[in-house]
Amino acid sequence: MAVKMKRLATISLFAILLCFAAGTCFAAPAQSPKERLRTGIQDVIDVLNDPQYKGIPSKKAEQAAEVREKIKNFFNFRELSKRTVGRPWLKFTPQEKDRFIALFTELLEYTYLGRIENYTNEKVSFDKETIIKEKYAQVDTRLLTSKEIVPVIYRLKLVDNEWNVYDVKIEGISLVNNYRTQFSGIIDTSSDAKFESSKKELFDRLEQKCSDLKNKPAKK
Amino acid sequence: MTIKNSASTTLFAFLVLTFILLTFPSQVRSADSSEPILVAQVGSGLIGVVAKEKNPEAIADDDFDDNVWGDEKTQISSADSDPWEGYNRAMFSFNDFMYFGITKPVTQGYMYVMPLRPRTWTNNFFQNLLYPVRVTSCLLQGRFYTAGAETSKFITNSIIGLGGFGNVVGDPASTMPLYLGNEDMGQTFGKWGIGNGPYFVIPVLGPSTVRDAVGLGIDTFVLNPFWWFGIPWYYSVAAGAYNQINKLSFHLGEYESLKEGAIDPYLALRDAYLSYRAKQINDPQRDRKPASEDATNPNAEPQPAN
Repeated sequence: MAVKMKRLATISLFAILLCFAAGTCFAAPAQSPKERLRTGIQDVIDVLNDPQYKGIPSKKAEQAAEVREKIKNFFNFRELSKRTVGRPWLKFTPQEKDRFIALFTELLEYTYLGRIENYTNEKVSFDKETIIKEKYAQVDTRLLTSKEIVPVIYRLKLVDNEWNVYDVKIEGISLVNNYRTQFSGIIDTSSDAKFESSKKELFDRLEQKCSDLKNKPAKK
Repeated sequence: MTIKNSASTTLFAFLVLTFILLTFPSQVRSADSSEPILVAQVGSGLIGVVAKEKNPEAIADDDFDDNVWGDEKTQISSADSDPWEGYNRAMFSFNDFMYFGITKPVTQGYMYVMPLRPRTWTNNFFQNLLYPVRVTSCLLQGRFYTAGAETSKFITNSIIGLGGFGNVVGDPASTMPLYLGNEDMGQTFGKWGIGNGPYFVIPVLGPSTVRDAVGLGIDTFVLNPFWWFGIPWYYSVAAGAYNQINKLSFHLGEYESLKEGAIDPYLALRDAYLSYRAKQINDPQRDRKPASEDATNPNAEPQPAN
């Protein structure tokens, strides 16, 4: 009996120790921002280079869907949407937030996924990461094309122990800031009535844009 | 006699200056390699936190505060000072119409007729010819390394590159890549602390600000060699227009892609222009670095071309 008790104690001690070990593991993010971004981008490039899709037009949609999934793995579209709206975001209802995120994500996908065929073996080189306040990180990268080198800066935020991208800056032009300038031209917070109507206009224009992009004739 | 003498003195001075300047580029590159590489700054919270330190809890949870990155200056300047929005929007529509109606079709026709290589030569030639514009701005900004790099590039390309048609130095694939930065008077004024002033869309030429428009005027009418040798103005204008078309042939589709994703193309272009200029002005002396150790590997196995 005593032996059994002792064994039980040992086992539970091990179990507790394991929990602690696991706890410390969970406290530190699984991957550093740079590693996270590199894995994410490498995954996308792997899909772009996948021979099963190369030069087969009928599989383009399938490839685009897979790229979209890979991008969702390391992009935080909620944070991205929140920041493009700016402070008025706080006055959005949860449903409106979800609707906005869905629409805005769709807009970005329609805009950028169409460029898949433009990929011609560009490389991405990762330079340095800077972490600020333990939850913001910036990773400097360079896109190496055959003709030129384009510096691209990714900004990541630590949410739920994962570093995810919330902004991309190319040649000084920030994705978030560019859209925020546009959205703040629409959203009017001067009065409640104006806010409601401008919010409606924002959603209308987003939906209009998405359907325009969807119905756009395919590029030659 | 005296004239001849002073001419030879000038030539000698020029040769000495050239020699000195030619030695600069090596320093440009060595300066790059000694740059300390910041790997991480965990939890320091020191960069860009200036004004709001009194209330640390407020910053910690304020997700709309971009101050963490210390680039809010450019963001603010890109957000306001557009008092002529009515005119600017009208001119934006006009330029948009001109672009899709005239400039783009002309450029596409030109691209159809002219293969890539001659277009590259033309681009190199004009780039080389406009060396005075860039070197003046470099010198006025105190960027002596870049001025030296520009000068050595100008001399090498003029002599070895057959009057500037070849780009012997300066392209990333060459043996001696130089970071040049494409300086102009607008950037120089910005470097001197002169603000953008109101945003201003120039007919045909596109987005600008009052400051950059003044800079462009100086670049075009004072520093551009076209005006120096008594060439009739219509030749200069024709050459300038040809240069613009040729240049655009390398950038066709960029405006379209910006416009494609935009909810309000006018505001998107305004922000893009102002942010890009702010970046050009605040650009530290940045060199073309070799690819770092951890690059993606897109060529795991060679892919057949489509």
